[in-house]
Amino acid sequence: MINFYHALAGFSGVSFMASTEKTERPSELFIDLHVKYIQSLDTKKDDLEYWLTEHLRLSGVYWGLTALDLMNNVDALNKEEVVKYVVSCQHDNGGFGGHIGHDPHLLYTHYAVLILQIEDSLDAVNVEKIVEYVASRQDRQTGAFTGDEWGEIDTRFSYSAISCLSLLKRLDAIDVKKATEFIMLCKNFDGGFGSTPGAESHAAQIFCCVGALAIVNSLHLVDADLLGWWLCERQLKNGGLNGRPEKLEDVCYSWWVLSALSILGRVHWINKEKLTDFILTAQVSFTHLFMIGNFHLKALLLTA
Amino acid sequence: MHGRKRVKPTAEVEKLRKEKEASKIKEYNGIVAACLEKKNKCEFDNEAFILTTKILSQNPDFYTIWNFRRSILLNEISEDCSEEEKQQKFSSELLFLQEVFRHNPKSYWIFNHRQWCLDTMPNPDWKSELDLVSKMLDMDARNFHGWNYRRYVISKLSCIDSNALNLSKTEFDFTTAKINQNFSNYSAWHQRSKLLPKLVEDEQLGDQGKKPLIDQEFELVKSAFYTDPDDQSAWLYHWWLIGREIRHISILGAYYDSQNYQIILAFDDEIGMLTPFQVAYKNDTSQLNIVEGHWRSVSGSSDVDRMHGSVWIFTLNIESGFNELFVTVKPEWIVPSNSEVKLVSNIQMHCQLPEQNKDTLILMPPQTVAENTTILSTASRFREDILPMTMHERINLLKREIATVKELQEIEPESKWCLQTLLILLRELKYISELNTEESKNIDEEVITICGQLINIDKMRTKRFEDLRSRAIFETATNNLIQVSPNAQQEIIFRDNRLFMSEKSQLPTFTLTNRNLTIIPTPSILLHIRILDLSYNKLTSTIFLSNLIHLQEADLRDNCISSINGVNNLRFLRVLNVQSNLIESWEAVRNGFVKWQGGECKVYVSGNSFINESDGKKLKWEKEMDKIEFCY
Repeated sequence: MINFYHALAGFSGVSFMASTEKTERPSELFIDLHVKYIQSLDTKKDDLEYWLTEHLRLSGVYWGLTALDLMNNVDALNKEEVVKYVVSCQHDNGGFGGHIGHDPHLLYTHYAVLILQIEDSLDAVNVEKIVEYVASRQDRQTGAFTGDEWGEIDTRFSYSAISCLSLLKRLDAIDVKKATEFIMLCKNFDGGFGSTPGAESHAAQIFCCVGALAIVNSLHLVDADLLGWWLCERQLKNGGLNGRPEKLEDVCYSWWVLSALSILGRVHWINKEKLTDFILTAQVSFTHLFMIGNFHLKALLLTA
Repeated sequence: MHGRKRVKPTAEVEKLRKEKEASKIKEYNGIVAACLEKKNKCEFDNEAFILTTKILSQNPDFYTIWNFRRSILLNEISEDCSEEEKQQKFSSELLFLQEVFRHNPKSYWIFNHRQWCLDTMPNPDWKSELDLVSKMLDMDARNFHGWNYRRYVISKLSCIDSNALNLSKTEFDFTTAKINQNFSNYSAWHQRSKLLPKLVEDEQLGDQGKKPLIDQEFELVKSAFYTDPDDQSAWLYHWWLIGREIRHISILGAYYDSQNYQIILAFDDEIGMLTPFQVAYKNDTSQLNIVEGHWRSVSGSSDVDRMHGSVWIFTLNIESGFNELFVTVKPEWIVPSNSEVKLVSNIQMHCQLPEQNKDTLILMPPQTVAENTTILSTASRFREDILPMTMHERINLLKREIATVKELQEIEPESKWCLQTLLILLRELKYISELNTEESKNIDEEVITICGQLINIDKMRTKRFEDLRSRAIFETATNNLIQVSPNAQQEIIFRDNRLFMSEKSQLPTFTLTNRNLTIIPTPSILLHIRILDLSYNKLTSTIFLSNLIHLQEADLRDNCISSINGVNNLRFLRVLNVQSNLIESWEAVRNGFVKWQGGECKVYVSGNSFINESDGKKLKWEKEMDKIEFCY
């Protein structure tokens, strides 16, 4: 099935910077090439990397599919095959693993629901079981969510749970008030959010917390001006965005930062032209190794 | 895996690589298959354990294998296993983790497993873990996994060590050491922001003891931003030290429209309504009765949102039979637009209906109900979590910091951080000082100048500074429309309530042209405006017009508007000029008027790209638009 080299579940993305020898700056998104790339990803079976990233297959399907959807090309991936694959990742307890035979986890359960939503095939799975699994991940004392039975807590999981249940129209299954309280414990001096109470602000965590708060109608708990400012300061001289101060830019942050800014109504606080340039330049036209789907998402968000 | 440059390899190189990898792939897949088979059969033996070691050494992100490994370990220690043996198993596990960590310092799964080991083993050595994580942070001071892990270790140590305060102090010193190594260590400053309040509260210092501690902080931060004015870490920490006072939401005005049986309420924030505000009346029997009716917002930031907005209208279900009207608003009934504004007390509004209705609009002056009032006063305490101070002390602090930053700004005139910090400090100073004084006006002028400088210096974030500048310009220009309420400091209300009266020959007018305005920050201030001129600016949206429910004429020529919004409830609108904007289609104009409830209106549209001059003098319009005349 679909394979992507770039892991989003762990927030470790691969970024392919345009080689400095290349002086030509593309001015358009090479949509056909991106579509072909996404379709080709599952054929890279002679790369060790393909096998080392098996645990990311399911998330990879989501990123590829959603990018295709934005490019009006969802059918570039065979719907039946996609749905069959997703279904095969589900466990008896309702949760989904990152690949067939991989243990259930909240992150992949969320991805599964996202994919089935895009393919309009939620009827292919036991939705009630999914709700049960997601709800069971919440610690009713703290409101926090564990990723799986081994107990890791992270606001990424809060977002995964809230987004997932919101898509299934079953937010009633969790304690939303407590979930919100936990997210607010992760708010920092700079208006941003971290993974757990006390953790440093990071663009990806901010996306998760702001997204979750937006879904449960609690955006008023955010200092939109301060956080919007922090987010727009992620834009560096070359137009790219980083994930936190004094770090390098990466295309994946364009998505996290841009999304969060959009939810906060402050997308215009970054320079659209320079970011578009940066993303388009990061396209490498001659190889088949592109950015991951989120790059497509961002570029399309901007050029839309 | 970030930031790896991709260079296209030659066909030869590719071929060699694939051959080499082919055997590796076969081997890896073999081990994985064997391991997963054992897992599925629940074979928690040593052979399985070795397989997991092989896989995880190569691929520590394969989380399912970590799960299996833990199951194997749990199985081993549940059998006949002495405490010593358990300890030994976990100790070697920790060593294994260190090996894997060396090549993968940023894997969530490795840290998870380590934490699990320490939580499960009989005698975890937290001090040794602290040493380990200190070494980690020496190697990479920004590794947030490391810092998270450190916090976890400290929390464990504080369970053992009854003197938690000591630990906070040691950690605080650790952050000082890290900051002194490198001022640009955002992670250390962040950690400090969590520890400082603990130090301040734990230490029974009293206000006298707190002051030197906080002064020291300001000194540290000052040396940091003087050393490297371009590094944002110290500046952000500085902003946090200064703190931002929560702004109080005010009701600018309320009145009863006796002709339309409506109550109109204007807030200076786009609030959300959780519980409908209570409306009550008194008739001749002097008994208080609840009025039935419904509230809706007319000024949300979208044309369909009725539950958020600055201007609210309540339509009464009774027409007569009362001579007194009461409206109550409580903080718990509303949701503010963001976390920096708050309604701090109950507000009550009241009017008596005159015998003969001379004016259709009857004033209902907002009164703060002083239950547990926290309105700003000279006795108010600020920044209570770190250093409580009086208003006077706070003003001195702000002025001192402004002087410090201005000193640096003279040396570094191009430093955007100095300028941004000045904006924040000035804004705090303005808020806390008396409104509408000369000093306040000077602050606005200075803010406008600084925004102009920032627009030139920081081209990436131009639009944000344009918004900030617009806010200052708008606030200056509307100063004469509002005033501090006589019954409470810092509560603002409409200045001249006669402006509500539409019978006056002098129609209330507001003009603010050619000022590069990108936004109208508090449009409800313009509630009573009849004639509006905002031409020659940079406005991109007309949605703010929905607040101006008495609007008759609006000149929005030469802006950056792309569609008409927010005019549906403007019943008195007669003229709208949107010439020379960025409107690209008829729909963008027409859609704004589809639900319009007014009488007749002229809309001037020339100079927009959708206008085809060869259409002839008379522009075509749809049948349902028979009240709108589109003109060049």
